[in-house]
Amino acid sequence: MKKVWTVISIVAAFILFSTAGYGQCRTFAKSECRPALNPYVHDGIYNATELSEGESAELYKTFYSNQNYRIAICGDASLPRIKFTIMDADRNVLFTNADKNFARVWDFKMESSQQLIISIEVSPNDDKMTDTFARGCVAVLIGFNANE
Amino acid sequence: MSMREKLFKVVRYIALFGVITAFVSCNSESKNDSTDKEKELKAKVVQDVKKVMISLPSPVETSILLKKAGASYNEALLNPTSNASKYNTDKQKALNLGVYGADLSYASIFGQDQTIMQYMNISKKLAIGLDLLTAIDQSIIDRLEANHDNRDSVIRIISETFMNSNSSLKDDNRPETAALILAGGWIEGLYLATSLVDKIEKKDLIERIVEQKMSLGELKQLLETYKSNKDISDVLEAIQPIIKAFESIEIQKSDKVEVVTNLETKQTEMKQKQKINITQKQYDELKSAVAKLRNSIIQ
Repeated sequence: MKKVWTVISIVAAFILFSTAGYGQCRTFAKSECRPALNPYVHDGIYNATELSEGESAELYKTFYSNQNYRIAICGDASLPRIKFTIMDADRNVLFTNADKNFARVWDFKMESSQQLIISIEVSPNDDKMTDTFARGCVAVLIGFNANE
Repeated sequence: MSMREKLFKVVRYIALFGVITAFVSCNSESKNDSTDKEKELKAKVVQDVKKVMISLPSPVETSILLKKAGASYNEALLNPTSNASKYNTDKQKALNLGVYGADLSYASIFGQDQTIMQYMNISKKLAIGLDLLTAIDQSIIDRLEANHDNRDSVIRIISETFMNSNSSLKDDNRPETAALILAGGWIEGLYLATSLVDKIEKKDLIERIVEQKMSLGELKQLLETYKSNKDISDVLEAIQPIIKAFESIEIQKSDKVEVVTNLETKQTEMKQKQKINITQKQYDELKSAVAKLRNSIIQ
């Protein structure tokens, strides 16, 4: 009977730790990423996902004219640097942080409203000594200037 | 049954439970963890398998854009808080939590203290009804009361409640409910905007309204992601008249986006000209379609 409880405990611990990542991602986005938007006001939309080295994700959003925006991209400390690229709806590249020393934030304004694609990519870690892939939360938060 | 057989039986049940739990925990954008052997293969194909996130304009952002474009405040347009007791299903609660969120944002941008508190309290009730216990807790209400005369703080607190709601739902593997709330908020924002404008001569507001054609594409894309859910497919069908009304309204863009960065402020401006072509008839049809859908949601 003792063995049964040992197995149950191990499986319960596995389930607990395997699902804890979701809550951690939310906490990470709130505590680590939202402050990077200051003095801009966060729009309240939570865009975060777990990514591994070499994985990428895209976020689609319409940005409006004559409104100042800030995009903040934050990656878990266990991840290599995050590259982000801003493209128009036809996938023409408008900005990449690879040209700006992988900056985490970007401030911009649009003359006319349009949908942009924010592509984020966790760079592969070429210098690592093991064959394991780092995995962690990446958040994309958007802020705007509420006082204009 | 021997002790050994009992042990295997328990392990089988636990394994089955583990498989089911792992399956339901995966949302639409997550991928299965892989074994060490699979990792190499996964690394090769992962570049082609991108996760997609859709971000609709938040009600706070929409309200600020409307005020800048010259919108006025009209309390009579809001969904009365007395309607909340009629919402019994999760679909009604989620859509109207979005509606009340948009009303709350609209009131906050125009500094309507009493209305802000009423709509935050009614949002809290609907959130609890959706098991979103921590999205709007008493500390949020207390902070709102303490900062009611500081518009910037009020907007930040409201933004925080939206973040709490949609992050809780996504992390709890309830993205369909999050999508319904966002849809309700988007529809109410468009309803408020179109209700404030009768004639297309009000160019700034009309421009903001027509620009929602772009975010409508994102709303459609978001709903289509979860259309296997009946509540979502119902909403997807219900927005068809709005999609149709927008189809005939044209937004023309100049060919290329010019990117100009101010080296001192480090702010970038993306320059591209836009022209909107809309007739009064097209606008009236859009306004009517929006009002019809919104009124069916708040009933």
